[in-house]
Amino acid sequence: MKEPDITFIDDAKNVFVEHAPSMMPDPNDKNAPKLKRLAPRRPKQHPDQKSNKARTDD
Amino acid sequence: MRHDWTLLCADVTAPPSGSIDLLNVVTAIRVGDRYRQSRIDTVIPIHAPMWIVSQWTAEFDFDRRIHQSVQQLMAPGGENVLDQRALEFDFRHTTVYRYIHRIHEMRFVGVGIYEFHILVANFAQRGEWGRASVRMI
Repeated sequence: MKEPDITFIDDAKNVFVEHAPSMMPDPNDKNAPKLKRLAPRRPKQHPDQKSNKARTDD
Repeated sequence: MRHDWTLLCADVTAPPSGSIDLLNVVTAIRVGDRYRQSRIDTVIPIHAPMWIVSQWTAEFDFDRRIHQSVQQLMAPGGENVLDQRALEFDFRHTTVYRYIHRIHEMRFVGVGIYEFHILVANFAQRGEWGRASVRMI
């Protein structure tokens, strides 16, 4: 039998992760710790863009 | 550490290692009127399957360890964190790691674009992060 020219291989590890529903913060809990955004912020507009009118939803 | 991709989809079929099948990549969710008309900050149960899948690669030997990671759900506008989960990505026995998580509920604060952020490996200084967004309409 002829060896195939190419063979697809995927050697990634797939990990299913469950989170307990109780970990969802209660929106009514006034004493819940304030969570802080960790990702850096993107610029509000592209450097080449003179006006920000084209998109304001993010 | 390198972020490869992150997406939201309606179904995932995956063995413990190797090729996975992703079905129905989604970019938006239509919210029922009973939630639109309810008080603005509420938790919506997601009965239909929705998954977040995030692939990461260990580029260096230094990366071949357990990394403390975080998943955050950002409200529209990206200022407020609606949900945060601590994760561990274990690269001790692999160089490519896929985090697969079924989303059972989402906090709803109005229509708009919600972003899921995945941040790995000392993200405050030199780590990477990926995101997938969904429009709630």
